[in-house]
Amino acid sequence: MRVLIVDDEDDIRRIASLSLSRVGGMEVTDVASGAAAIASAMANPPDAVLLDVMMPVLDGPGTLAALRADPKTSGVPIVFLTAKAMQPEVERLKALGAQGVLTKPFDPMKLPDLLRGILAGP
Amino acid sequence: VTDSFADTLLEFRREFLSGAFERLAEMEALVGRMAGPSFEESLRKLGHHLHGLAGAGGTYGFPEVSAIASAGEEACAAALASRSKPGERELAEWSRRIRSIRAALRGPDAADADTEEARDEDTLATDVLIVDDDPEIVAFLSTVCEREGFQVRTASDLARARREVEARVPAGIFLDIGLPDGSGLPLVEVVRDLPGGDSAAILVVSGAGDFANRVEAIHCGADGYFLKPLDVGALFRRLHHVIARRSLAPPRILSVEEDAGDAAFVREVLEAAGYDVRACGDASHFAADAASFRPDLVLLETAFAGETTGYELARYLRQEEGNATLPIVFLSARGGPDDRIAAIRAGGDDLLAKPVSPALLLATVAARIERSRFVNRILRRDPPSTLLTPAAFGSRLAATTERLRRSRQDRAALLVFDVDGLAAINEVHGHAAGDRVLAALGSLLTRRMRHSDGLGRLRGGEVAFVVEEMDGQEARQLVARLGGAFAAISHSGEEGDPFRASISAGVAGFGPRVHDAGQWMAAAQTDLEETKRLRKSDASAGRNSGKRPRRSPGAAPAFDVSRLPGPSVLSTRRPPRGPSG
Repeated sequence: MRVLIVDDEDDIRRIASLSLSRVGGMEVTDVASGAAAIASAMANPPDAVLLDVMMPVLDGPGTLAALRADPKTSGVPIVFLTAKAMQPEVERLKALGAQGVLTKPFDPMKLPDLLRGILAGP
Repeated sequence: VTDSFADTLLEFRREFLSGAFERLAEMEALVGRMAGPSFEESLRKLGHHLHGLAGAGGTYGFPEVSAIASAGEEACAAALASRSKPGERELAEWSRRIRSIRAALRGPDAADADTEEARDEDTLATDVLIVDDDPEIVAFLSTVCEREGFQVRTASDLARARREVEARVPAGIFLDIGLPDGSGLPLVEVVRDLPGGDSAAILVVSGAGDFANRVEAIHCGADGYFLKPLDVGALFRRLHHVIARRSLAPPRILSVEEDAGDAAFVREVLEAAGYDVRACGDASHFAADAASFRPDLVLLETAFAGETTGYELARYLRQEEGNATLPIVFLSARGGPDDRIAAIRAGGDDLLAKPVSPALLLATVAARIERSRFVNRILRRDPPSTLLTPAAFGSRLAATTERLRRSRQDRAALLVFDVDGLAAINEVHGHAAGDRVLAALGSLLTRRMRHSDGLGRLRGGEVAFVVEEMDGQEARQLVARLGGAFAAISHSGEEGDPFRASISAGVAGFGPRVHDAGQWMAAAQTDLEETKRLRKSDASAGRNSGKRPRRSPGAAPAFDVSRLPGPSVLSTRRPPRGPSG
């Protein structure tokens, strides 16, 4: 499985990347901005996108809208990564068309399973 | 997962930490600028940093950092929404938040002092003590330490170093072996015996490429050994690695709960606080889970659907000696006096009535774990004698001999220790006192030789063990130090009268001439007899003429300190005074 990780925070991007690749055995690409995410996903559509919500310039919801708008990436499951784990926020993000929401902070040993769980559906 | 994964994780964590400290410095500058006209810009940037810390903190094992930063992020958003310039009180509040985050990043030791007082600067968990008498080395290491975000203390001799560690155990110690007032190695022992001393990273730095020092350093509990000229990169990698490894693993909690809702609640509350939780939903899997997960605390539901009760599970756990100090907390729908009595009878430490508030659950769990860690520390410091029986030692020695012979190893020595005049001690101070002296010897050797297993008692009451990677001569140095340490112990007789005892040792190096365990043991025993004989004549010569006889090469070392007036720090550099002194 190929996963695109999008987060502007180096600390998060690198540990999420390490976790998914080394613990989860996934193939990982990571980028630091919404714009870079769109470019990467268009060039080489991944099997899933792990998308930070709060990013400067183009935020998570904006990136999701752009990916959904293009036929090449409209079917790619998107999972948000957010520090705001309150239920209304989670509902709002799901309503935007995300497959699910993962919260920060996360346990790097468990992140791959959580992601797989969401992608497998309810 | 592999070691290299753990190493990478630690490396990332280290970088997260250094980045986080840089952030805190920038955040402090931003708070300083908030009094100016562009306060909104400062607040926005501050919010960005807090957002980063909130997301990453818990991920890297700092849940408290996430909690404080997350609250700060909200406060930031609120301040921006109000569009009003922060006043004195708000600025002080921001400074306090930054201090709290710094304290949380630095670990639990700093949290004790995390009151309104800004005392955090001198109670850090990330401080390093540099013990070295070479001012150039001290200056150099200090510079690197500070660049790496450590607070630095220094000591130029052993006495000062002792005072420093006794005042507060640092997170890391760079310890030079050749100090003006003796070898630095005894400091390792001092630190390890202090509360919290087990977690200090002690890296021995030595000018001499003396292999015995290296082996001894590791034997007595140091975490690394580095030769001058120093490879600073390697030194600091090791320091970070040891510090992180010791603080990375969160306490493990096994939660045994059939009700899925209750189980999820417990898990959520405890995991959010940074605990490692394993849920066991089926009492029949309990034994397997407890064995494989090795919990630091067990949370037990009292009533299950089947026949088994939580009390029975607790009794099952308590059967194992190793679980004697494992905290067991019951969670029960009923919390009446009868339930409490049942809980205590079953060996439980506490009973919480459901529904339990997150705060009470967290406080109970934290207090119980802290308490059991403290108790374990005391037990470890003075371990019950764990010597092998003569028979077990005999077979262990035979196996070791065979292994050494096959691998053509010759750096090993067999050491045999005997308490001098045990019969006289029994007669004068009573047999109970004699037993206590033997126990003290067992305890000293178990502590000092913490990295060597296989200490055993012989049929004559002597204690024996094998040291590897040391030849006979190096082993004699070790023997001298152990003899000094034993002589410094004060024992008490039947009427509480204090007395001291001494030990003699026999040493036999391993070599091609040693063909089997029996032969090796005989050589060590012969050496022990020779030592005793020499010491007898030594003592009488000392009494008669005040002079010691010369020793033949390879004979026992001079450590007749049985009559030293009090505890003394001995080293191989400064031979102890003889009885004539």
